Amino acid sequence: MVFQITASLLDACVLSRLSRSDTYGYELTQDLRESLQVSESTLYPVLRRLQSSAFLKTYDVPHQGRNRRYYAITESGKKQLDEFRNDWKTYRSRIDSFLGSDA
Amino acid sequence: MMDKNTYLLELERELKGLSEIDRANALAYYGEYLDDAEAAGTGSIDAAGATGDETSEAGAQAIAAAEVTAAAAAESILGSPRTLAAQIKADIAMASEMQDPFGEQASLPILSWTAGSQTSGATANQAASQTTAQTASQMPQAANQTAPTASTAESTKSKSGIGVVLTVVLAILALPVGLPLAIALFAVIIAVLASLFAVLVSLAAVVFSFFVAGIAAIVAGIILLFTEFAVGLFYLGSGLVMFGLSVLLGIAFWQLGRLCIKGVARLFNALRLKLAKKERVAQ
Repeated sequence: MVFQITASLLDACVLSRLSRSDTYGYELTQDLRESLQVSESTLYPVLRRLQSSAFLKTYDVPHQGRNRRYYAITESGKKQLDEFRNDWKTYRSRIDSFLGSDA
Repeated sequence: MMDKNTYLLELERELKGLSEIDRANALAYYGEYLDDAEAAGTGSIDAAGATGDETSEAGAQAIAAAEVTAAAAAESILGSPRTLAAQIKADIAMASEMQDPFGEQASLPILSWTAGSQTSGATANQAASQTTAQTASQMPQAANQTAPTASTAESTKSKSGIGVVLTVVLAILALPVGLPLAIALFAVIIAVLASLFAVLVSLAAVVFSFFVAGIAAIVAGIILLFTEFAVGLFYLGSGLVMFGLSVLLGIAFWQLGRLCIKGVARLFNALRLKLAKKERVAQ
């Protein structure tokens, strides 16, 4: 992929995934890696950032004798996600007006 | 190849300089990540065992491949501990240094670096990020403790002046040797020119004093001619000598001064041309 994914897009994708269900770091990474070219260590800074902006919260669930940290979207995270989706729609239609095959 | 615990120990060592809480968070995240990666690996062993009978060659191969994954080749998943640590530190340093309005833009370069292959840029960034990370770690960080209830965390951000100063000092130290040398050379040239100028000025002062003293002596001599003729004549004579000398020397120094100014101008012009040429070559 020649187009680089930006920080905001990653934020949006993570929030979108979390809006479907809570999940933990590994699963989140693998889910994103199904469609995005991100390394295994890309999401830690993203999660940190989202958490410090209070867009997501965490809770620990015991799993096979250890704790697994789950990430969940907050109310302000949902608002942010809506904003991201609107911005993305605008952005996509603008790019499409130049680049789209049926432009 | 490293197993998980060695990897985490190594990572912990590389994360030195971060605050306790930042380090614990990063280690917890990646420890858990590797556990889950390992679990996913063993999961595929079960899958391989379930799909085919284990005596078949394909089934055995699948199991062997999965076992390699299960052996927690942590390094192949997350890259070297050093690179990962540099990345974590850089991110934390960025987040602390940059205030919110710039937060998003600030994280961009780091991101594009982490998303891409992490070999070439990593070592270069590492040196820079390490120092900033260390200063960042000295800031208070009220981060999220693992609480049974859901917790949102807000890390306090502050900007330390010392951090900025250290960065500047580092930048100066990191400059190539050429620049300090050029500065020194420039300073020497300025010093030589300044002393030359000082000599000229003092010579001019001497000439000027000759001129003034000459006129004074001539006036005094003319007055004395009427009372003490011999003394007046002496004063008149020496006054004329001084006046003549001052005029001659004045013309000489005037020419010398012009030459010097021309020479300096020519020198700087030559320097300028040389620099311009170098720039053109560089382009």
